[in-house]
Order: sequence, then C-alpha cells, then structure tokens
Amino acid sequence: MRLASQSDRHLAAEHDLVQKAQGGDREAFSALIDRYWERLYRWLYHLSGNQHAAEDLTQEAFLKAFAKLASFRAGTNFRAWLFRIAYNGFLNQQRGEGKGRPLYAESLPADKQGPAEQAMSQETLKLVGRAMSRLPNDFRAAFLLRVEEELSFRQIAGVLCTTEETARWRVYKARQKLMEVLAPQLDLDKP
Amino acid sequence: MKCRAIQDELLLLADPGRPGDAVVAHLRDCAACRQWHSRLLQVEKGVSLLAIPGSTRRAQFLHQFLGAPAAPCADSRQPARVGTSFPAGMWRTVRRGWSAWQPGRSWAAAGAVAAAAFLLLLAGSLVRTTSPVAPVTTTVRVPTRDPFVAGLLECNLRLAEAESPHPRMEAVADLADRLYAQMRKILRGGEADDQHDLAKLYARVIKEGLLRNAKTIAPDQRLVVLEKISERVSQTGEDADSLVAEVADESVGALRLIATVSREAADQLRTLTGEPKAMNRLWPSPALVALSVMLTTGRELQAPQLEENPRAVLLLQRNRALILELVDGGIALASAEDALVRADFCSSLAARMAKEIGEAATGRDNSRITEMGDHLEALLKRGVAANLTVDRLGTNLGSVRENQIRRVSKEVKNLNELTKPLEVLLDGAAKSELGDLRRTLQSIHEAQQEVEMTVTRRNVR
Repeated sequence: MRLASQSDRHLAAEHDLVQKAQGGDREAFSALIDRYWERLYRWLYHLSGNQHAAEDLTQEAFLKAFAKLASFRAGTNFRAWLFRIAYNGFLNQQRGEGKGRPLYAESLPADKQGPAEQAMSQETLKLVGRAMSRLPNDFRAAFLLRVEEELSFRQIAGVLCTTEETARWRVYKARQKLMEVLAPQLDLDKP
Repeated sequence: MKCRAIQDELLLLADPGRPGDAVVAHLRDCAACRQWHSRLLQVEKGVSLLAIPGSTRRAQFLHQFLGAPAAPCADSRQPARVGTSFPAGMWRTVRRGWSAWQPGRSWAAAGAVAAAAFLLLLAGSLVRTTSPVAPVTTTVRVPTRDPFVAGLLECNLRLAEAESPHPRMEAVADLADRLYAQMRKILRGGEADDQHDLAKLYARVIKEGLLRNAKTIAPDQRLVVLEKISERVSQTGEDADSLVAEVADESVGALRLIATVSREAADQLRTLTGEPKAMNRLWPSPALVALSVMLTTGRELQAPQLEENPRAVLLLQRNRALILELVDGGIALASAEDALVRADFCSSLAARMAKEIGEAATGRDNSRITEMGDHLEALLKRGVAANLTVDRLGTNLGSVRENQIRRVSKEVKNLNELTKPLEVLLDGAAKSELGDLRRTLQSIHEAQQEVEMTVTRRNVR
C-alpha cells in the first residue's frame, strides 16, 4: 500500500513535469533528463556495448524527445515513450554501421562488495556480462527492460514496436539462453 | 516432463520471483527445480549488478540545455571547447554555407545550407519557452565520431585484407549496403542533392566494384560467391522501390536510381551464376522470408522506419570529401589483386587521415583528432603493414617492386609532416587533454614503426 502510494506520487510528479515541459518549461524537462539519464544510458550501453555510442544515443534521445514532446499523449508512460525514441535511434545507428554485431566491451564486474555481490563471485559476474553480450540485440533489449526497468510486457512491446506476446517471448528466450550458459557455472560457485 | 513445464512457466513469468500456487507447490517438492529457480533469480540479480563505465556527459548536457552562457561558437578562431559545442570545422562549414551557394557547387553549398537550416530549426525549438531564460544559441554538441565513415573505412580494410574473391565481394556488397543505409537515414530531413549523390555512389560501387569484379571470378566459384550477394542487392532494390511512396518528390529520383541499378545488377549476377533472372523464378516474397525467419529463429525482420536524423545529415556535410575518398578507395581496392598495390592504396588513404588530423589539431578539435587517429592507426597496421609482409608478397621481388615498397615505407614516414600540428598542439594542451592526445600520437607512431619493422624484416630475410 505504501509502495503503491509512493509509485503514484512518483507518477503524478512525472506527469506534472511532462505537462510543464510541454508548455516549454526547460527546467521541468531538465528534471526529466536528470531522472532518466542514467537508466537510459545504462540500457543503451548494454545494447551498443560502447560508452561513446551510448552517450551519443542518450543525448540524441533526449533532444528528440524534447522536439517531439507535443506529440506525447498525457497519461501514457513517459519512460516507455523515451526508451522507444532511444531504441529507434539505436536501430538506425545499427543499420548505419552494417549488419555485424558491434564490438562489445564487456560489462565490468561490480566494484561494490555488498552481500549480493559477495554471493556471486567476480568471475561469475564476468560470465554474466559475457553471456549478456552474446544475446541477440532484441532479446537483450527486452530482457533488460523487464529486469532493470521493470516494465510490463505490454510496455516493453511499446518500446520495441512489437506485440506483447513477442515481448514476452523475447524475455523468455533471453532467460533461457542465459540459463543455458550460466546455470552450470552457478552450480560450480555454490559454496 | 513436469519439471520442464514448470521451468518454462518460470521463464515466461513477468517476475519469476513471484510464481503462482501450482509452481510454488512443485518447487516445494522438487529439489532440482528449486535449485534451478534459485539460479534463475541469481542470474537476474547478477545482471543488475553489472557495472558499466559511468556516463560523463549528463551535467554538461543539462548545462547546455538550460541555456548557460553560450560557447564562443560563432567565432571559429576560438578553440572549440571539447564536447561542449560544434567542432570549429563544422561551424566554418555552416558560416560559409550561404555565401558558398553557386551553381555547380551543389554538394558543398546545399549541404552547408541544410546544416545552417537545421541549426536554426534546432535553435528555434529550444528557444520556444515560457521562462525568461536567455535564448539558447545552439550549443548542443553533435557527436563527432561518424559511424558511417568508420563503416566505410572498415569495408576498405576488409578489402585490403581480402586475398580471395569471396571476402572481397562480400566487402564490396557491404560497402554498397552502407551507402544505401546512409541514404535511407537522410531520406527525411536531408537534402535531395545529398541523397542523389549517395545514390550515385551506390551505383558506382555496384557497377565498378561489384559487377566488374564479379565477371573476373572463375565460373566454378561464381555460384558460391555471388548467389547471396545477388539476393542482397535484389532486396535493396525492393526496399528502395517500396519507399518511393513514402518520401518527398525530390527524393524519388535517388530511390529509383538505386532500385533500377540494383534490379539490373541482381539480374546480371544471376546470369553470371547461371541462375534464371528474377522474372523467371519463384522468389519467396519478402513477407514470406520474414515469416520463415521469425518462425525458425524467433527474430523479426523489420526495416527501421524512416525518421529524421539530423546527426546523420550534419555528419554527412562534414565528412563529404572523406566519404568520397573512401568509396573511391573501396572501388580501387576491390580490383587490386596485388598486395603491394593494396598497401599503396592504403598508404594514400592514411595520408588523407593524417591530413585530417593535422587540420583537426589546428582547429583544436580533440575528439576529431582521436577519431581520425584511430582510423589512421588501423590503415597503417591492417592496410599497409599487413600487405607488405613476406607472407603476402613473397621474397625476391625484383628491383622495381622493391623500390615500390621503399616508396610506400617512405610515404608512411612522411606522415609525420602532416600530423605535425598535433605535436604542436600537445605542447600547449591543458593537462586534462594531454592523456588522450598523447595516446593518439603514440598509437600513430607505433603503427608507423610496425610498417617500418615489416619492411626491415623483409630486407633481413
């Protein structure tokens, strides 16, 4: 109940910011940038595998979002709308760079050592990063939207311009592929 | 069987951490599935623990967005602030745009006008605000790294490395694909002249790079090498045809040129491979192909929608001359059987990159320096040094060819003259900038040394 009301407050504040930004208030839009920059950048980094590309795409997505803000329908999900713009940018970039997979700089293992990190060895985290990088882009995109952004399958479908069923199926395939690669390793890690 | 079904159900859940009652009951009784489930949760947790390099541009972007005092962009004599404004070279292009308009100079003038128009539009959209903040003077940074240039260079490098028809033809087909993809990017919001020029370059690559060299392939190899390429070319033609209805009238000509050239080329390639022409054979429709791919791999084939891409338009303006050289280089490399000739072509391209570095250093455009530095290094290592090795060239070449090798080696040494402004810049660079620039210069020197060592090793042998 408390969580729900927090989430409601968050959405109401966001709605307010979007409305103000639609009225031309740059401070309000900059608050939205502040709120979503890191999350969008992280997602794009995982997709592109390249820091510069991810920063370029993040920047471009916000610029496009600001330019198209009038077309955003109040009451719909701003985050999903923003991620959709970013994904289109990513697809265009991919097409421009050819059909080959981008050179993927592997994710770095976590440098914090909280209980969760201690439960997983650095080596295993490296393997997770490597396995993630080998997923097809559309599987990885859907999976991260579910796991990190906690978007619903319907919202993921909206971001990736596909159907809800396809979004669910992509997340399923991503999990399946990761488990194929990682489950044996995790068994070895078992204390 | 039951376990498999349970595991599938867990994989399909929005949150595998909150399974339904039936799954919970199974997990209670089945140790193997319980362990599998805990692994699945661990994997998802592991993904969110992955650290990535931090973003460095948010504060800067926000600062610009909120209309902080403008960088001194209007004055191209001022050094461009790294990452905070357009590079000086780009501003010069924009400023020259209006006065440069002359018939016969449509490439340069139309491009510069388009860039200026885009900047005005962008400024307009940012200035429209209710708050009385100082007007923004378009200081939004356009990323200087151009993926299109990098892609064309990669095709050139693959052509420089290719020692048989198959990889060579694949690289030429990729070169054509990249040109078409770029044209697609600027179909909305780009200048018609730019679209036509890209279409013409595409046609040249197909005719002079692909078809001309396809004819030199031994008949018994043609089917293997050319079959898939002819399908790709044919698909490009179909895609271009299908877009004609979606674009402005002035863009139709460019698309039609691509469609016609692709159709004719696909037919000629099929003739070379001994297959019937498209009209006479039953090709599966694109929809059928997409459906079968989706059914077998679960992936959807979906051409990206046409969208305005101001970044691509601007970068095209900026890198036009370089693009032309890379396409010319690609066509030339496609028919260069001789490794020494390929090394020679790459050394010319390397000189072009070195010149770009010199100009960027003069304009204090640090990100451009590192971009071109990477390209130069790749050209020297993969294009020049690799083609001068004994493995590729053999030994006892005779005095004429040995002289050619020495000339190429000398040209590589002379690149230092072209990159001299970078060394001058390093003398006066701020401490924070030194690292990247020094690394770039160091990489260039190492690549030059690699060429020199390759030549020395030949002589020792």
